[in-house]
Amino acid sequence: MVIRVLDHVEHASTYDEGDVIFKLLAPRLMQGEDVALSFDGVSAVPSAFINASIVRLAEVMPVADVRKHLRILQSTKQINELIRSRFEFLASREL
Amino acid sequence: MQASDMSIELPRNFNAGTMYPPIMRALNSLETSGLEALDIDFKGLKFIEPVGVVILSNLIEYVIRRNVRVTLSGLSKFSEGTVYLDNSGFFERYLGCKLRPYAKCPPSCLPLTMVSNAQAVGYLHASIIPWLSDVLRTSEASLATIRVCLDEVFSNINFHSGVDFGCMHIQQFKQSNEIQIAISDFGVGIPSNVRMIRENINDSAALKLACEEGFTTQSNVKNRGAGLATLIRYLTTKDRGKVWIVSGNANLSAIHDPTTTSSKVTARTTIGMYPGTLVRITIKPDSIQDLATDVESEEFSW
Repeated sequence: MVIRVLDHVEHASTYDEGDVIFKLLAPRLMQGEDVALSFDGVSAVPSAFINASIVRLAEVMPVADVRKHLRILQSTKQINELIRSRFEFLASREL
Repeated sequence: MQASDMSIELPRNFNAGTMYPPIMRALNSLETSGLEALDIDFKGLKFIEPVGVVILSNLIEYVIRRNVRVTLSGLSKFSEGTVYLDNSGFFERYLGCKLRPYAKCPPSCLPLTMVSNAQAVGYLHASIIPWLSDVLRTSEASLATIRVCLDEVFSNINFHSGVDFGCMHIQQFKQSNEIQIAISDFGVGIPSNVRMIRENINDSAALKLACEEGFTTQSNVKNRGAGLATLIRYLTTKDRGKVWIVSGNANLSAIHDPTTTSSKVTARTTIGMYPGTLVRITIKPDSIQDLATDVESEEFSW
């Protein structure tokens, strides 16, 4: 299943917008469904959006399962770097 | 003048370095003698830096919030400083009219604006980024990282300050072409927030801690401790600009460190107290092409 961010929120700028995406992702991923999150039309996002939409997934399921079932599509260097850095930080705290 | 009234004279050059004496006089009077009326005397003011517009506005908003009446005096003669303030919309906000009817913000600056938390994202998308795109002669898309940096500052106000708006002013310097963005809130300040979980930490250590990735005061469920770290990383790691934060009795500078190609973050104790938080972001003009590479498409892999 593909979830296109801009089909559900206006800017992908705020925590509340990230929360909308989280509520779409979390139930599906927790059931083991493969989900692709598309950033088509979004060039950059702040940490509040990524924290709310994706980083919070690590609070409801193992990080390994997030990585296994969640794909990121049509993103940019900034978006990718932010997602990776937030998850690397989570991993470093678990060591 | 009654005991609970006071007048503060602005220095000849009002900027981040000279702000403390007038601020401290006003705040001390507020705390010790129940200040009821504050007069700000502009007659000695010759110059004001762009960040000074926001500092003055923040001070006025701070004392007004504590039911202090504010008057402005010493405005019979114009100086470069008062003309700058007039053009930036300062007197229109605090006197209800311009000093000179023809005062107008030049194309090189965005006027003093109060940005509410609810309006921040819209103002960023509809006003700030189009203006920056125009003065920097680049596409709005290429400024997405700058938009994210400002998002981080507005989120910080929204999540931590305890107030519902901040004041903002932007100036492009003609000679260097640098863009300076100043945003301030008059909320509780970063050190006070940090002390909610680190009781005995001093202001400079608290400010530095607040800028480290992952540190969170958990003052809000939405607060995950990445905003200021992200702001600093985007601007300084690749030498695109610098960040300067003032809050409580401390300031913090973040610049590019060419020896380690990362950020050099330095926190210091200040001679005075800043009510709330002031963030000044400086964008180097030669970083614009590099900023555009951030929004290039890239396939994601974990």
